Amino acid sequence: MNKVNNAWLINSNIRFYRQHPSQLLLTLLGLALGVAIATSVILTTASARKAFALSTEALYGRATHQILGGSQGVDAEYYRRLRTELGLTNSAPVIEGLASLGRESFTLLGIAPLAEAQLRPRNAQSFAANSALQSFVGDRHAVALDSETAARLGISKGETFALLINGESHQVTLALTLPHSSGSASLILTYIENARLWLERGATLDRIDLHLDNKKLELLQAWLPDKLRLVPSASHAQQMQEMTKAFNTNLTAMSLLALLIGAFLIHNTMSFVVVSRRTHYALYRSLGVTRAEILRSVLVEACALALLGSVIGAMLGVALAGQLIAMVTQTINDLYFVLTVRELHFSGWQWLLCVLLGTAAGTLPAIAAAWDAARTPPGQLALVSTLEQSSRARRKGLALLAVGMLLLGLALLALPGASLLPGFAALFAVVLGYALLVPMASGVLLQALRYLLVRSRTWGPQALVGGWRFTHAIGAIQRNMSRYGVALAALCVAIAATVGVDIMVGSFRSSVQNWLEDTLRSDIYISAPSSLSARAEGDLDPSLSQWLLSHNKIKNINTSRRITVQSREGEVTLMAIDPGNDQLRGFKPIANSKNDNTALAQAQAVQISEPLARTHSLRAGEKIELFTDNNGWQEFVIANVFRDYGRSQGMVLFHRKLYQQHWTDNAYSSIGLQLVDNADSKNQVEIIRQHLQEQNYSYMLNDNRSIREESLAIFDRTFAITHVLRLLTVGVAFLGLFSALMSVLLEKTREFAVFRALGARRSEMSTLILQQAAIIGCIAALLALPLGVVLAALLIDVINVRSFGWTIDMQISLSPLLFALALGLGAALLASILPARRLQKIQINHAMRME
Amino acid sequence: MRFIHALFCTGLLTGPVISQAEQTSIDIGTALAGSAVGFEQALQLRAFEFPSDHGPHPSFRNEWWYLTGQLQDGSGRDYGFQYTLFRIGLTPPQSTDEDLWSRDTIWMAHVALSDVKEKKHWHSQRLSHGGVGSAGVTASPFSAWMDNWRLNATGDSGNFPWELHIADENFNLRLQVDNQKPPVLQGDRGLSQKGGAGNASFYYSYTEMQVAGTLDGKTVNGSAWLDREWSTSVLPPGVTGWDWFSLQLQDGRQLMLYQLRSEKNNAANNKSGSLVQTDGSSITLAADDISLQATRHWRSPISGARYPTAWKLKVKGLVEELTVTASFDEQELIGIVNYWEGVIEVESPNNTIRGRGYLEMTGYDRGSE
Repeated sequence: MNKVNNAWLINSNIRFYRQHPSQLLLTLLGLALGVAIATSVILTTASARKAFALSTEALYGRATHQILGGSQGVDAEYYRRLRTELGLTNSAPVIEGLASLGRESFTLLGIAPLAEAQLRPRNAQSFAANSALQSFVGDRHAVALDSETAARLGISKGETFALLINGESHQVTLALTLPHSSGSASLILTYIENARLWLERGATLDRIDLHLDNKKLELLQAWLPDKLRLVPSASHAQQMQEMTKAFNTNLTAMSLLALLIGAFLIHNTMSFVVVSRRTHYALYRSLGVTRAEILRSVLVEACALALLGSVIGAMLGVALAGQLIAMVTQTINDLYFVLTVRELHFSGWQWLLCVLLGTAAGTLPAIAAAWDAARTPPGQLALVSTLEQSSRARRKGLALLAVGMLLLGLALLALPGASLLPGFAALFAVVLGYALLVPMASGVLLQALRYLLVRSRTWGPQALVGGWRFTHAIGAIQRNMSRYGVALAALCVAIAATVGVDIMVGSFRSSVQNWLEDTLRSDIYISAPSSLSARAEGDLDPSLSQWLLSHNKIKNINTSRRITVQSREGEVTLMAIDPGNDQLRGFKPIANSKNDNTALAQAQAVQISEPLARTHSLRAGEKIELFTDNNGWQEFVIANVFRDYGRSQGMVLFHRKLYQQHWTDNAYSSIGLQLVDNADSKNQVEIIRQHLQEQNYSYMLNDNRSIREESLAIFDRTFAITHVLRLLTVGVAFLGLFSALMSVLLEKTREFAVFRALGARRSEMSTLILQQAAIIGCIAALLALPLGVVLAALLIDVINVRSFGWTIDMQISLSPLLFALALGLGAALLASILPARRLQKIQINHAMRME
Repeated sequence: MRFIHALFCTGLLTGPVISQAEQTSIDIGTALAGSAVGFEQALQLRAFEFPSDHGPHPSFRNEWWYLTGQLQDGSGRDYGFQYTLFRIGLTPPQSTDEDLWSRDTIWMAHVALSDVKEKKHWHSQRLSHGGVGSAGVTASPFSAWMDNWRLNATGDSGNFPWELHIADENFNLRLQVDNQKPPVLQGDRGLSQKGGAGNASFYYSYTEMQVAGTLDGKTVNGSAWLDREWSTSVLPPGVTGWDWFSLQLQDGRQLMLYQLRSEKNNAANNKSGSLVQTDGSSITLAADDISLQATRHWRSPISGARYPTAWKLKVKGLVEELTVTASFDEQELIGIVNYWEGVIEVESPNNTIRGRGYLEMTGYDRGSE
C-alpha cells in the first residue's frame, strides 16, 4: 500500500508542475538566485582567504618568527651575528618593498637564494630546476616572476622591462619564472643586493625570517638586543587576516539575506502547491493515505525543489563569484594590502556546503505548508478559505514568535563584548521578527485603508481611485493574505535592506567627507611613494622644504612622518607631525573624548585613532606602550581619541618633537603646504611640479581637492560590491512577488471569470491585478521604511563599530526613502504585468468550469 | 685533489639531492658549471708564500680548505672529524665591487664526525652567499668560517697554532691545531697536473698536524691533515670520480694517493701521490709507482652507491703491500653530491706498518640512478 501511495503522490506532483510550469520556473529561479548570491560571496571570500594564505606562504614560507627593527629596519650586521654567534642557520635576510609594473602593484622581495632553502623551499627548488642561481645572483637587473604573471604580462625569459620602485624606473630582466601559484602571483623576486640598491636600504634589512624550535627560540630571546623585536610569523599574518575579516563577514551576512529572501519564495510556492492540491490530498486521505505520508511527500517535494534550485544556484554562484572576485580584490588592495586573486580557490566541499545551505533554507520554510497538507481531513471539499482560516489561526503563534525574535535581537545586542557575530545574529533576528509581523501589519494597514475608502465614498478620493475596484483590490489582498503575506514580507525585507544599506553608506560617506575636510587642512601635499614593508614609508629630500620655505606664496609648511611601529597590541601606524610655525592642533576628537589638544601640542601626549581605542579599549588619560628606537618599550599618555576612517588597524599621532625623543629618524614622508590667502592652488601645484621635475624628484603632488576626490572614489569602489548584492537581493524579492501574483491569479481564475461574466471589462480585470500589485508594493515599501532605518542604525552603530571601530553620524535623507517607494511600486507593477496580460486572455466559460 | 671536482664533472651533477634533514638542497652544481672566462688558470709554477697563501685566491674559480683527522678521548675511544670550506667563484671579482651581499662568490661547508666504536657518522652541509660576513676566508689573521663553524689562527697572522670550532646540532668540537712538518707542495712543486694543458691546480698539504681539545666537553687528542687547493679548471673530460687516500703511518711517514676513474669501464687511468718522509721531505709518486685494488664493497642504503671500503695498495718506496679498511662502512655524506669520506685503518700483513687516515671516494652513485 505504501509504495502505491508514494507513487500516487509523486505522479500527482509531477502532473501539477507540468500544468504550472511558470510556477516551477519562478520558484527555481528565485531560490537559485538567492543561493547563487550566497554561494558567490562565500566562494569569493574563501578564495580571497586562500589567496591570502598562499601569498603569506610565498612571503613568509616556513618561517616561525621574524626579527624586525625600528624605523630604520634591521642592521644587516645582526644577520651576521645571528649566524656566526648563535649558529641560527635557518634564517634568511629579507628586503621587501613595493614595485609597480604597468598599472599593477607587486611586492618586491629581495632574498638570498642560498638562505631560502630552509624557509621558502619553493623558491630554492625553482632556482635548482632552472639552474638560474648564477644569473639571478650575478645579474644586477635580474628578477623572477610567477610563470602565469609573466605569461599574462607577455614577458618572456631574458626580456627586459621597466619596474617603478619608489617613483624611480628601473630596467630589469626576467631571469627565471617561478612555477605558478596564486601566492606568488603578486611577487617579484630579486637578489637581496638588487633590492637593497633599488629600495635604498643602505646596510639594513627589512626583516630576518627564522625557523626556530623552542631551544633556539630561548637562545635567541636571551641574545636579542633592545633594538630588535622578535615577532611570531603568525601574528603578522593574523593581523592582516583580521583586517579583512570584518569586510568578509559583512559580505557574507549580506549574501545570507538574499538566501533568506529566496527561502521566503520556497515557502510561498509550497503553500500555493498545497492549496492548489487540497482536493487531491482530501481524496488521498479518504483512500487511506496517512497524514505522515502526505507530510513526508510535501517535504520531499520541497526538498527536491530546493535541491534542484540550489544546484542551479550554486553553479550560477561560481560564475558570479568569478565576477565578484575582481571587486573584492580591488577593495582589499585599496584598503589593506597587495593581493592578487585571479582565480577562484575553493574546495568541492565548500561548494557542496552552499548547495546544502540552499537546500536547507528551501526545505525548512516548507514545513508549515506540509503541515497544512497533512491536516487535510479526508474527503473534505477543499476550500481556500479553510487555509485562510488556518492561516489566521496561526497568526497568534507567529505574532508570539515575532515578538520572541525581536526580544532575542535585543538580548543579543545587549550581550557584553563587541564581537561581530552576535551583532549579525541580532540583525537577522530583528529582520526575521519584523518579517513575521509584516503580514499582520499589512492586514492592519489594509483594513485602515479600506475603512478610509469606504468613509470617503461620499467625497473626492472615490472618483480618484476608481470606485469599487479599488476596494475590491484591497479585499482581494486581504482574503489572500496567506499568499501575499509572504511575498509582502520578502519584498519588505529586500526594500528595507536597500534602505538600510543606502542610509548607512550615505551617512558613512558624509562622515568621511567631513573627516577629510577636518584632516586635510593644507592646500597642497607632497609625499614620497609609500612602501609596503613593515617600516617607514618613503622619504622626502630634506632640501625640498628649504626651497618651499623660500617660496613666497607659502604661508606655512608642515611635515609628517608615517612609520609602522609595534605596540603591545600589535602593529600600529605612527604619524609624527611637525606643524611648522603653527601650533599642532591634532585631529578632531570623537564626541565623547576630551576636546583638549594642549598636551599634544606641547609634545607631552599623543592622540590615538578611534579604531585603535575601540579594539584595545583604550581611553583618553590612559597610556599606550610602543616599541621605540632609542628606549625600547615606552609608555605614552593618550590625550584623546580622534576619528580615523583612513585605516582600521589603528594610528597614533605624535608631535614631531616627542617622536624625535624616542626615534632616531630625521626623515619625513609628506609635506603639507598652506598657501597665502590670495594664492591659486592650481597655479602653485604647477610651479611646484615643475621644480620637482627639474630636480628629478618622483614625489606625488596633490592639491587638497584631488586627494578628497580620490579618497571618495576609493570609498565608492569599496561599496560597489554592496550595490551589486543589494540589487540582486531585490531581484529575488521581485521574483517572489511575481510568483505570488501568478499563483493568486491561477487560483482565482474562476473568480475572475465570474467577474467577467458579470460584466467586468478585460481592462478592468487587468487594472484589478495592477492595483493589487500597486497596493502590495506601497505597503511593502511603507513597512520597509522603519525596518530600513532600524537596519541602518544597526549597521552603523553595531556592525560598523564592531567591524572597523568607526563612529558614523547617521543621516537620513529623503532620497533613499523615495527610492524605496519607487522600488516597491516599480517591482510590484513590473511583477504584475505578465499576470495582468494573462488575465485578459481568460476564457470565461472554460475558466468557470473550474479545473 | 678533493671532492669539489665532482661538481665540475657534469656527469656527477645529479641535481637537487636530499640533504640529511629534508629536501632543501640547491643545484649548486649546475650553477658551478659556469664559465671559466676571466679566471686565472694554474698553468705554471708559482712561488708559495706562507702564511699568506692560507688565505683566499679569488682570481681562481675554486678553492678549498680541507681539514680531516683522528681523535682519541681519555678512554681510548676513536673518532674521525672533517671540516671543509669550499669557495666557488661565480664571476671573477671586480675591483669596483661595493656589494654588501656578494654576487661573485658562494660558499659551501661540510662537517662530519665519525664515532668508530658506535659506528656512527654525523654530517651537515651549509651553503651561503657569504653576504655581510656570514661566511668567508681572510688571510691575516687567518680565518675560514661558515656561520658558527670556524677554523682560524689564534694570533694576528696566519701562523700556527690554529683553532677549530665546530658548533653543530650533533656535536661541539674545539681543537687547537698545530703543524709538525712543513707544508708538502704536491705534484710538481705545488702545481698538480690532472690532465692536459690547463687542467691543473695549486695544491699543498700539511700532512702531520697535532690536535688537542674537547669534543662535547671531553678531552680529545689526535692528529690531522690539512689540504689546500685552488684552481679554475682541473679535470680532463671523461673523469667520473676518484679515490683519494691520506694515510698517517705510525713510523712518522705520510702517504697521499689518488686515482681518477674514467668513463671507460670505470677504469683508473690517472694515478698520483706523494710519500712524506719523517724529516718532512717528500717523494712524488707517478702512476706507475702505485697499484690500487678494491677488495670489499659496501652498498649505501641511502644513495644506493656501491663503495669499495677495503683496498690493497702497493706503492714504490714501501716494501710491503698495505691493506686499507674503513673503520666502519657507514661514513657516506649525503648532500649536493653524495660521496664517502671517512676514517680508515691501514696495516701491512705482518704488522710492520700500521697507521690511520682518511679516504674519499666520489662518483660511485652514478650507476644506481
